Order: sequence, then structure tokens, then C-alpha cells
Amino acid sequence: MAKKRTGGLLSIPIRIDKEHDEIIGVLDAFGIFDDRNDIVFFAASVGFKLDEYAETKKHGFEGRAEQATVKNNLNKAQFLAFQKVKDKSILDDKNMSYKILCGFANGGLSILSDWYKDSETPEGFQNKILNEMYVLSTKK
Amino acid sequence: MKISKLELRNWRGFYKQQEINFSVDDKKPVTTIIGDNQTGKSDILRAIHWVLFDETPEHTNKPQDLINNFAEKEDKNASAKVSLEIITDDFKTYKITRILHTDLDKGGGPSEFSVSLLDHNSMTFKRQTVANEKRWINENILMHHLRHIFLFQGEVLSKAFDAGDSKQLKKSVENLTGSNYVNEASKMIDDFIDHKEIQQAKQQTTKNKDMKLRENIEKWEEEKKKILEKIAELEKDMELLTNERVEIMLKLRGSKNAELAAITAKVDSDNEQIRVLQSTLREIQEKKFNLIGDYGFGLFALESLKQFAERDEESKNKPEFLETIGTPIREKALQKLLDKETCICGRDLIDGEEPFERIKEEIAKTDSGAMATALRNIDSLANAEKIKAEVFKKSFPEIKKQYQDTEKRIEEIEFRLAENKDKMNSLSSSNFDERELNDRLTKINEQELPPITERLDDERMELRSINLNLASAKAKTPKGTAEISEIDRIIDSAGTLKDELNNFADNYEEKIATNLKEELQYLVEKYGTKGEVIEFDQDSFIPHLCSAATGERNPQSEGGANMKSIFFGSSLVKLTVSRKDDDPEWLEPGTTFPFVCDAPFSVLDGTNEGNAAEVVIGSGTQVILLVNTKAFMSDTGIEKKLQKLKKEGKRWFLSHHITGKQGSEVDSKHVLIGKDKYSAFIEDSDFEGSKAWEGKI
Repeated sequence: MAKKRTGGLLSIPIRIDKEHDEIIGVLDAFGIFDDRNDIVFFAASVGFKLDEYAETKKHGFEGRAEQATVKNNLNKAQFLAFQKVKDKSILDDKNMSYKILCGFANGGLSILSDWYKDSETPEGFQNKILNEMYVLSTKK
Repeated sequence: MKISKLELRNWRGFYKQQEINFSVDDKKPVTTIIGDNQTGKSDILRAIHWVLFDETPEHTNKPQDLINNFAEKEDKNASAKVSLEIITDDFKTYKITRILHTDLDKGGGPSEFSVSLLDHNSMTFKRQTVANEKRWINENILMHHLRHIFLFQGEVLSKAFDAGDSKQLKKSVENLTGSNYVNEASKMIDDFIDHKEIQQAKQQTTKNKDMKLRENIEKWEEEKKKILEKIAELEKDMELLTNERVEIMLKLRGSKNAELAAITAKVDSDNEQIRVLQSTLREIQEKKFNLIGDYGFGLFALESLKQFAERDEESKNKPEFLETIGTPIREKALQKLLDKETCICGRDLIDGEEPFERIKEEIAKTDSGAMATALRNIDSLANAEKIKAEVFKKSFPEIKKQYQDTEKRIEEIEFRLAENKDKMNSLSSSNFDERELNDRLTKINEQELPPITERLDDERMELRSINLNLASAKAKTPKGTAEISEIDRIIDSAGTLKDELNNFADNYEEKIATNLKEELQYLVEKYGTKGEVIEFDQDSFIPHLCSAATGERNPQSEGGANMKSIFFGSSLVKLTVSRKDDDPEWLEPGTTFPFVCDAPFSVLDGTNEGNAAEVVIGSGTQVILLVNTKAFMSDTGIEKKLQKLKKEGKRWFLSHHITGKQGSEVDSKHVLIGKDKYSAFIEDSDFEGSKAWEGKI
């Protein structure tokens, strides 16, 4: 008899490259995200917008998809994955959706790391992000 | 208390329902129940005994056979039932009933007991709740230990005399005095004292542990006292310094340097305003940066999300696979056909040709359930983020402006503050006295008050800690020594009570023995052979008649055990009934109860029968006499005595029916008793069993 699957979506890990641990720590210290999974989703949106994608090579921060799913963020991962592969079958593959999410997050964290380095203060870094957001919100 | 009625149904010798009404007239308190041997006289006494105490008295023949045998033959489910109606001294009428469904010799279970109280308005009996039947009987009807006194079996007592059974007699007397209770109580007090002594020993052991706790409590109490003194001293110092500071401030305010004071106040106010504004600035900053967490993802992905949400209607409304299929198996199967370029029917599928294109089209048309759900969720996400983006677009500039305005306000105040500080410095340097006062004020504020405040905090902290320790130690400490001395006192009191009880029992027993002897002596003198005296064996209550002249026991009198038993039994009843007048009620309240007297009258001669009847009637309570025909009818016997005394209230006869003929063993002749024809046995009946019927007086 085939062994029954008990894992599935709930056990999907979110793995981010180790080189981004520092910037994740910086963002975490601001206290503006609920947890590090939120940082991953935010960074992924930055990576997605600025088209930076890098698959995880050496594991650093590891989250769990179930924590993201609890907050109903599966659709965000699926959206990014669908935009990446342009094939609806990706919507049936939650593992792959999260893997693509992590790719964009790695890319986004690289960009955020650069912005941080360019800023003189942590406040300046946050203002930089906010200004980027404001520009995007006013774009027609 | 009086018995007004007895109902018997299939009780031992009695067949079906029988009723006997007793005389409850104080002037005519005697009910005689006349019946020859084997007609059921003793079963009347046994019925009363059973209904009250769920047991038959000692010396009952076949005590396990309670249901009438003929009734059982007729109906194997026949039950025995006895009901007793009792009128209490406060005129309540109770009906006490006991039913036995299966005979004890046939493995019968417990009997059913119930009590009903007569409602005088409706004249019906209403069932009462009785939690514990034995207790209820003891409290309301008759104490258990008095049952043998009031339900008197003369023959049993007579045999005890003949057998010299002093134990049985002593028990009767103990029952009468209640000293059995006293002795029981004395034993219980012994147990109580033992228990208290063990408790005392345990307390002693823990006392040593408690001592340590007590020492700690004393130590902490001492420390607490010292700390409170220190705190009082520090508070005094603090008060002195605070007063001095107030005085200086008053002097400064009232001085020529009022301008300086005013500027100082402005500086203070500006400092406070800056502090508040900086706090507000931090809050706005926090609010601003929180926008990143709340709106970041949506804004960076906004453009694509919008495009997604605005995709063409056709792609939005594609048909879905059924949920039961779940995964795009159908698509995969179709795709497989295309990959193999072969249809299920075996035909070739060629790219570009009609079947191939149709299958491709079919695959493109369908979404799995999961896909459709995901697409719907993404649509929702896109719509939500679009709305959020609008909120951000509006709120971010507002927050940014708030932040900038606050920053500007702080700058303005800081500028004013710097100006005032300059003025303050120039003013404060102009007056020597005021400079001195200011210096002193600074010294108080910065050097003298802070250490006092710090020490006060430390001392108060220490006080809290000691208070906690004290509370904990006090909670753990029992009332120790006080309890031990309390136990001593309790043991002493219990010992005294025990001594008193023992003395009382001894004295009271002696007193009762004296009274009993006096009563018996009175009866002997009145009804016995003249000149005899009554004596008891040492340490026993077996009575002997002795010659008054010689003191020797009269051997002839020894044969009169039956008469002595009637004397003895009547005396016990009389003493029990009368004792409430002069004896302590706490021992046992005075009890009255009908004297149900099943005495062996028939073995006495006529004179003694009459005398015995007079003795029994003289007991001072309702009397139910169970007598046989011969004793009742003799020339000088009971009937004559009752006529003379005019005490007979009701008269009942017991006749026994049998199904055959008993021949010469049965005297079936009628006898005339008063106006009634009485037959002890009625032959050739269609049942076997006794019946009760009322006679005329």
C-alpha cells in the first residue's frame, strides 16, 4: 500500500540565500514587518518589480510556508510564480511557486542591500524605500 | 404515646387482612386479646416488634417464616404486611407500615418500610420521607433498647430467672437506666482522648519545626522595625531639604529677579514642549515606516497585479475541471495523446489536422479546480492591493507633511530656547545673593536629595521583601503552642466528663436497683405471701423471696418465677414511664409506650392471675394484655379483676381456622365469654389461618 502523504503544502520550506542574512536582520530590526516571512514576501516584490531573480544556493534564513499560508499569502507566491513562468500549470505546484518566490526574494534582498549601503542612516534607507513606493503608487 | 390500630395481612399465623383496634381511652386503657394457645397471641406482639424494628424478638419459633403459609400456597407472590397506627403525645397519628414480599426462608430481600402521617383535614394518610428508618423510630416512637421492656414476654424473663441468667437481666436494667448509652459514651470518650493524645504528640513534633519559623519571624520583625526607623529618618531629612528648596524657590520668585524666574519657567516649558514634540515625531516616523510593511508588496507588484486583474474576460471565465478530478489528469491524458500522436482508437494524430487541433483547443480551454481557486485568489489580491495603493497614495504625503511640520516646530522652539537661555545666563550672573541661592538649590537638587531618594527606594524595597517573607512564614506557622495547650485542655475536659459519666452510670444503676427493689418489695407485700422480702443476688438482678424472720430464701417462692417475672416486668415499665419526673432528661427523655404484655398468666392460679392483671394495669400506661381463655375466665382471674377495676376498653378474640378436622386434639366447643361465644379453632374452613374479631364488654 502506498504511503499516505501527510506533508504537502504545510511542510514547504522557504529558503533564502545565506548572503542575505545581514540585510534580513537589518529589516527585521526596524520592526515594520510582522516576521521574517513578511520580509521575504516584501523583498520578492522588489525583486519581481526590478526583475532580479536568483535561485537559492546556500541556505541562510529558512522560514516555513505554513506560516505564510496562515496569513493567506499563498496567492502572492502563486502570482509571482505565474508571472515568471507564464504557465497556469504552476498554480498546481505549490512547491515550485514558493521556490520562485524565494528566487525573487533573493534578487530583491540584493537590491535592498545596495540601497541600505547607499543610505547614510537607517532612516534614510527606509525613506528611500518609501519614496520608491510612492513613485509606484502615483504611476498611471 | 398510644397504639390505636394494628393491621395484619398474611402475617405469620394470620390469614389475609386482619385489623385490631385498641382502646386509647385513658380511663379504660386496657385492651384484652383473648385466644387459646396456637391462635396467634404472641404473633400480635411479634408483629409490633417487626414493624418497628424489622426483626422478631428472641425465642420466636421459625423466625424466618413470616408470610402466612396458606396465603403462599394460594399465591406464590403473597406478601406479609403489618401496619401500626400510633398516636403520639402531641396528637400526631402516624401509620407505620412494613411489607415483606418474599419470605426470608425463601431468600427474601429487605422489607419495605414506610411512614404516613394523618392529615386531620382530609382524614387521609400522607406519605412521609424517612431517610433512616431506625433513627426515625428511635426519635419518634420507641428507643430500640427499650423494646423488650414495653414489648414484654413474661415467659422469656421467667426462664431467665430459672436459668439464673443475670446477664440478660442486667441488660434489661441497663436498658432501663440508659447506662448502656453512658458506658458507650464513655468508650467513645476514651477513643477521643486517644485520638487527641496522638494529635498532641504530632503537634509536639512539628512544634520544633515551627520554632525555627517563629525565630525567623521574630528576626524579620526586628529588621522591619529597624528599616521603618531608617525610612522615618530619611523621610525627615527629605522633608527638611524639600522645605529648604521651597523656601529658596519662594525667595527667588519674590526677588528682584522675577524676570529670571519667568525666563526660567519659559525655558522649562520649552524643554517640555520639545520633549513632547520629539516623542510625537518618533510616533510619526514609526507610522511612516510601518507603511513599508503594510503596503510594500502590493506597491512593488502593483503594475503586474493590475495587468493581471484586467486580463481578458475569456481567460477569466474558462471552464473548470470538476473538483473531484482535482488535478488536470484529463489534460495530461489528452496531452499524452498529442505527444504520442495516436488517438485512443488507434488513429494517427497529426499536428495541424483537425482532431489534433481540437484536442489542443480542449486542453487550453480547461482549468483544474486548484488553478481556478488560485486565479480567483490572485484576482482578489490584485483588487485588494489596488485599493490599498490608493490609501497609501493619500496617507503617505499626509504623514510626511505631519513629520515635516513637527520637525519645523521643534526647530522654532529650539531657536527660542537658545535665546532665553542666553538671557537667563546674563540675568543670573547679575546678583550675588541669588546666585548663592541658585547654587544652593542646584546642590540640593543634584547632590543632596538624590542619595536620600535612592536610599529611601532601597529601604522600601527591603521592607517589601521582608513583608513578603513575614507573610509567607506566618501562613506556614500553625497556631502552635496555643493549640498544644488547647489540646491539653480538651483532654482534661474529656477525662472529667468520662469520670462523671462513669460515676453517674454506677450511681444511677444503684439508684435504679434500689427503686426496682422497693417497687418489687411493694408488689410482694401487696400481692405475695405476707412477710416475705425481696433480695437480689450480689451483682445481679435475679430476685429472690426470703423469709423476713430468718432471711432464708423461701424454696416454695422459687417456683413462682412466672409471677416474679410479671412483677419484675411491670416494675421496669413503671420505672421507665415515671422516671422523667426526677431524672435528667439529657440521659434519656421519659418514654411512654403501650405495655404489650404477653405474660404466662395461665400457669398462675386464679388469685395470682387477678393480682398479675392488677399489677400490669397499675403500670400507668396503655395496656395490651394477651391472655388465654382459661386465665381470663377463672373465678378469681383476670376478667373479674377487670370488671372490678373497670379498666377494660376493648376486647378482641383470636380464632384459628383449619381445613380439616383435628379430632380430639382440638377443643372445638364454644365457650361463653361475657356475651360472646368463642371457639378457639374452627374446623373444615376453606383456609388455614387466624382471624381477629371484636368482642363485647
